[in-house]
Amino acid sequence: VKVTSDKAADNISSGRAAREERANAILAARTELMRFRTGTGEDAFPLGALERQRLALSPGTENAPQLVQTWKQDRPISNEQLGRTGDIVGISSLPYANAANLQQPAGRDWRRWHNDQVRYGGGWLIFGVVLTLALFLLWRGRIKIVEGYSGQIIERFNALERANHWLTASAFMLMAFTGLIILYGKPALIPLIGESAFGRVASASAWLHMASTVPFVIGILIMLALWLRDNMPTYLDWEWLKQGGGFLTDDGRNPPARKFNAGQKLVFWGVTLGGLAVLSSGLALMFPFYWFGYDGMQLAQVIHAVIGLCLIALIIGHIYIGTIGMQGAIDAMWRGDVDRNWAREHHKLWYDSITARTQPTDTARSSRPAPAE
Amino acid sequence: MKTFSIGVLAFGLLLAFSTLALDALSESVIEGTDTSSTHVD
Repeated sequence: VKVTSDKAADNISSGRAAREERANAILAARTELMRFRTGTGEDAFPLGALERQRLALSPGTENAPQLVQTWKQDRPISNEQLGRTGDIVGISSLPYANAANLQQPAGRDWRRWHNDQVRYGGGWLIFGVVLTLALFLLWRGRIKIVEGYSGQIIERFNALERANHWLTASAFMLMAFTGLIILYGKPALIPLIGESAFGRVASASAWLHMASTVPFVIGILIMLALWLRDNMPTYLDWEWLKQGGGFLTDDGRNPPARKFNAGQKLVFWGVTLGGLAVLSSGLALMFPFYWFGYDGMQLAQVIHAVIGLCLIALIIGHIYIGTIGMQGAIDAMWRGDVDRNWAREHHKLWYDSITARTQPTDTARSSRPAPAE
Repeated sequence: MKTFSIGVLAFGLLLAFSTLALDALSESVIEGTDTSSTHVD
């Protein structure tokens, strides 16, 4: 491979100082983070004796910006790249798109996003949601059916709705699990299982992640067909949100809702619109450089990771309120029917419309063991 | 429980189908890659 042109050459004059200053700030921030990682992160390269000696002799080792200045003075050729924006392109014998792209200075920004902001931000987001829900459960306890089980049930979701929900949920869970391995595997799994085993795990994860796209998209499309009409926003949703869904008190005076309340609508639109975002960005990642160049690929990767992490946080909340967070809620999707009192307390308008047409069915629920509190 | 099993089974079948399709797609991409005009400098 040889360098035949330098597209960056024209970019040297205008704005170079500002770009170099920005590059310095990024390098200083990463240097600070690498010190924080104390040698276990993927960016903390194992240092040889010579490097350790040079680092020990460098002035300003305790000060990240000063250390970056030392590094720059030590590497005039690398330093020369800092203010550039354009790519350096050569000729390559490799049959891959963009294989001849030798340097992409703007990739520094993406690396900072991918390795720092997205990983740490996503970790804090998921940890924060779990912690918040745990504190909420401690403070509020399980949301009970205030009037208790009535012994009468009404159908909530039919077999097609439930089967499709579990199809989509299975696809989502596998994609979330494999996506977390892809994003966090290098820093989190390699120290545990080694590089060789991680290579197999990561390869299988990427494969399963991509293959899950088909069932996930089919599930979302069927959900749209089944539930779109019931999930259109109305003025009731604003009232429901203002009152926190009635979740904050135990008096049973919940804001009225039709088949889906505002919280469920947020999950529905989050999954459909977020699903569209991860699908389109994921397709760009599955076919590298087919539609986009480096900038587009890097943007697609960041969008895919950020939206994916937000969806995981959203679904953690969805699973919480559908299981341990609310008494009687799991029945809707597990058996397809709910207790009359649950329906009246949480979906009053839907309950009224159903009972106006049919009467609730008596059930032997009273002989069933009550769910654990 | 029954609809849960049906949903998971449907997911498994679709996953198997899309895995095979993905495998066939990647094979065709590899076979279709034109390397005849590449050269080494």
